[in-house]
Amino acid sequence: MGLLLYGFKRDEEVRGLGGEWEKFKRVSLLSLFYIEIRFPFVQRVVEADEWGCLCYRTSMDMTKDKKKKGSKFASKQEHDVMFEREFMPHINSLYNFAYRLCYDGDAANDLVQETYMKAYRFFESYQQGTNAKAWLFRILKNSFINDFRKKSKEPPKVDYAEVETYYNSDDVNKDITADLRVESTQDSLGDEITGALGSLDTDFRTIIILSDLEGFKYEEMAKILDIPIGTVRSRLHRARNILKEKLMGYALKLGFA
Amino acid sequence: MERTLTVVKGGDTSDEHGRVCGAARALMQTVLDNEALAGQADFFWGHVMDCEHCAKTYAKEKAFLEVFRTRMPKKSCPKNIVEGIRSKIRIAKLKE
Repeated sequence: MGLLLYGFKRDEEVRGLGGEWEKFKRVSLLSLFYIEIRFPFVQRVVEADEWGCLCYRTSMDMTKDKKKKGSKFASKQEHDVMFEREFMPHINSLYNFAYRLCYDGDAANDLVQETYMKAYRFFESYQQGTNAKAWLFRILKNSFINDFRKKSKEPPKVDYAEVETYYNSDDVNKDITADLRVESTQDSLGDEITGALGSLDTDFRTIIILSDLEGFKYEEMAKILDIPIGTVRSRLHRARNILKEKLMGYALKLGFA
Repeated sequence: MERTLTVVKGGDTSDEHGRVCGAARALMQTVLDNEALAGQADFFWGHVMDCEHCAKTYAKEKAFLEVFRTRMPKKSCPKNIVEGIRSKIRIAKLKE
């Protein structure tokens, strides 16, 4: 069995590929780079596991995993029917979450598609009848973080052809909106709530979406975000307070404050 | 030393009441989110029945959450994304 080392955690147990917890040893990992330098025998084999976490395993175990395990589904059709039934009903919630994280329709589309492809790939390890929605949300959240990390390390890319077309056009003097959040809030001009939510930090925005828009319980949010329940409570409390401050004018207008 | 005094129904003030108020406030979010344990909820409601200030704060918090939850527009997934996912799955199956 391959050993998965969870790159972003410190002092965590190492989980076996099959899904059960395996006490390999407690590892203190500072960063992804640290693993690769410190443990040269460890190779990154998949970008994300069924929970969307970056995975590593020891190269000595890689050949063993090539053997296919017996499927828990009687046929491929059953597999696909169950996948559709369990996961597809959550697509609107998932898209809403992705959109509120990225504030960009195209990025949200990509994120949702990537999430479903990962869910499909790891459907065998999903326990049917458990919380499919929370499982999908966790994959999406981790994919978002991984993409965000990747993009934040890359220098911004600009298509030269677009720049050339722009400078040759008559629109040169028009104001450019660089922040997509500003653009999207302009779609629903005057919607203070959308604007206030969009202006929150990602962590705060995420917890508000999960709790107040999607109705997840504290325990579910703790699993999705991989944080203790106490942190869920305190983060939600802080996020709502910030949101309240931002919406004070709006609340006064409606007579709530 | 500065002390926090809380005004309760009838103009009564006490440190003890302030402490109970603090405990009730700490539970307010949990109650609003329906996450309070039975004992916590009993304590909270028992206090709110007697304390006008906490009752008002609770009503305000609840109203804020209701407005936020109901007025926040939800985005629906474009239909082409659903089709896109299904076709990607079909391609993935062919590759297997």
